[in-house]
Amino acid sequence: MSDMDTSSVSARIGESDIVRLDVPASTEHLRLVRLLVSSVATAHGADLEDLEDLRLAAGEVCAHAISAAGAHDRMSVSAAVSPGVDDAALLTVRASVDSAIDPGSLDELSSMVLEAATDRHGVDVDAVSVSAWFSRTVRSVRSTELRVD
Amino acid sequence: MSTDEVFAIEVADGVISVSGDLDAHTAPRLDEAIAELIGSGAERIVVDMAGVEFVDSSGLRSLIRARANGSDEREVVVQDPSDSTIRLLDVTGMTEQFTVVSST
Repeated sequence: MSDMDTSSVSARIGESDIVRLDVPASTEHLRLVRLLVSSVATAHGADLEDLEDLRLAAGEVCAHAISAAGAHDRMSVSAAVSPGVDDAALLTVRASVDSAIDPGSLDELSSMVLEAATDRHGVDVDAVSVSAWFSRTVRSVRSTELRVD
Repeated sequence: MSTDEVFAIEVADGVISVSGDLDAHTAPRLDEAIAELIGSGAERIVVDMAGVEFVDSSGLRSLIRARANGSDEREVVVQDPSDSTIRLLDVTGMTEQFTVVSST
């Protein structure tokens, strides 16, 4: 059974949409994470600039979470969409690994990328897990285009 | 669906041609290609980015490492970067650190 065979995706649709991906904590799966985040954002009408930034930010938070993981650890990635202001959606992406290893702060380059590509970002560390996350407002192109006054 | 499936790198005539996604998984292969070019005596590094669909800070770090040449700095040419690559260089303040050329 390959690593890919053990990945899983789950989704919950309600007041907010949440899609979760569970994969081995390896950089090998970064592309899959980017595709997941792009798909969720596209479903909420994100434009090309949003998608570029979201893909970039998703890679940064996942790479940081992976840096805290052991060889056989897994990474859980969630992409949650909640209502924002003025018809916008707020997309929050969180990459988590169960690990007692503190990866430290984001390095300068990653911080600059996340500053530019997201509204907020951070790293949460406790005794048993590490989560790197970001949130970004996504303006729905679709809702703007379809609005009839 | 891993990054490997869409990533390729080739060194020919002193130019490193990269295609696909350049991220934390594939950047080490760019490091290897840069080391190969430096080992062959290249005084500057030319990276053809025309085929790169995505690049993150890991790819950028590889380019930054390529500049290091003892106490000096080696010229690194970033050839035909996409708009997203240009934006990455811009938001990280790295544009001036490279020679960016476009063939179109």
